[in-house]
Amino acid sequence: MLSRDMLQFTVDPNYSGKNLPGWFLMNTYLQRHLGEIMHFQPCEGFDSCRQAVLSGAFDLVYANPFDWVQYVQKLGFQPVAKPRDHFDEVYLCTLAGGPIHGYADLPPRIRIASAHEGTLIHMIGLFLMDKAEIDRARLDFVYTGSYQGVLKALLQGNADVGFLFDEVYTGASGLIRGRLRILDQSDDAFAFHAFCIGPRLAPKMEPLQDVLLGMNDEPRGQVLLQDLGFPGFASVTPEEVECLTTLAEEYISGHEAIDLRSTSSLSIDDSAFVVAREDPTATS
Amino acid sequence: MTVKFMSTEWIRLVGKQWDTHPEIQKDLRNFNATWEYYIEDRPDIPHVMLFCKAGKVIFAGPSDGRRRDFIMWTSMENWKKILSGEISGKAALMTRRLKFKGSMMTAMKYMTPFNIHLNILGEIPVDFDI
Repeated sequence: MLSRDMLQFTVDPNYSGKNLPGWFLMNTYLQRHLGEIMHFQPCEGFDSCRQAVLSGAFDLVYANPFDWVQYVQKLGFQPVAKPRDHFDEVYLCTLAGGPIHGYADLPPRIRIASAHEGTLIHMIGLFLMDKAEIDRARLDFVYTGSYQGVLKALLQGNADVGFLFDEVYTGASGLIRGRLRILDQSDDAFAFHAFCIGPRLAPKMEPLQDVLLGMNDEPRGQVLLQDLGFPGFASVTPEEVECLTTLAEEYISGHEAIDLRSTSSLSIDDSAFVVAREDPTATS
Repeated sequence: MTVKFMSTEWIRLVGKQWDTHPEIQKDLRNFNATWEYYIEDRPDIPHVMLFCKAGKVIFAGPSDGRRRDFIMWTSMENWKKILSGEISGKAALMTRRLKFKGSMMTAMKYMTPFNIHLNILGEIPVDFDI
């Protein structure tokens, strides 16, 4: 049980398996600069992390886009900073020593390892498969709860393709990367992780933003950024929040991109597609 | 020769220009949709639309009341910036300088052709004095 006397900080579960010491140091850095005592608590899986944040257990979260959008909407969290020039992308990976060199080599039924279906990475992974005209009816999903689990499923031969968050692939050891083959990758530069604060930290929003955005201006901050693999942090605009909120809402509520019937034999109800039906003069 | 921005002549030239871009036709080979454009601060200018079927523009003309999958609109000032390439398609969308109604998931899925399509709009020499 987390103490609610103290401020609580957590990060997206995809960081639990990598560079955790760096995030503990980040917590120390923030405590020193804010003059606040804050406890850092990593989470194990996407569902438990989301549940813990939504139950009010945390005041500061570095979260993936579809999660932070929910925290903003449901808890009134405020996004304060995002990685500078750095977006969430997906790598579709297969085993380097395996028979799959391209989309044409995929078996009739394709086993996909994905950390969680409620993530942007899963959505973009599906988009890449659609664009390659792989029928969604051929896909069987193995949800691993983490990207480390995706790596494990691939390496153990329990999946034909893995949807990997790009940071996890690039942060993996050379040995691991050498055992993987990149089948495809996204280059959308659209969505991003963000630091979000809850109501208890709201009075500290400005100083926290100053600390995060100024990390590149002082040596300790630079070392820490390098350690965590970020070029720096930038502010998040209300328009970006609005845009990503629309995207997340569509996806989480079960909508699909409007072209899906062209590449999939799945039976899809018309209500799955968002169209601009309204009279535009009434909405401008 | 220039045509008036957001006129029927302009949108028809956009449709023709589309044919000279095989990359967008390839990217949108599975894409069927209609979309409409208008100028937010010029309610007197009629709306125009495109209908894309399997990557080809099969209708370019005045908005005729059929169902629109997307609607895009902004001020004349922002249209000028978008058409000149001063603002990229993604930036226009993310900063809401290009207002957008329709499936955001689809826009994201087709971000590259979305950008190309805005470049095509900018390839037609236009007269903004309308």
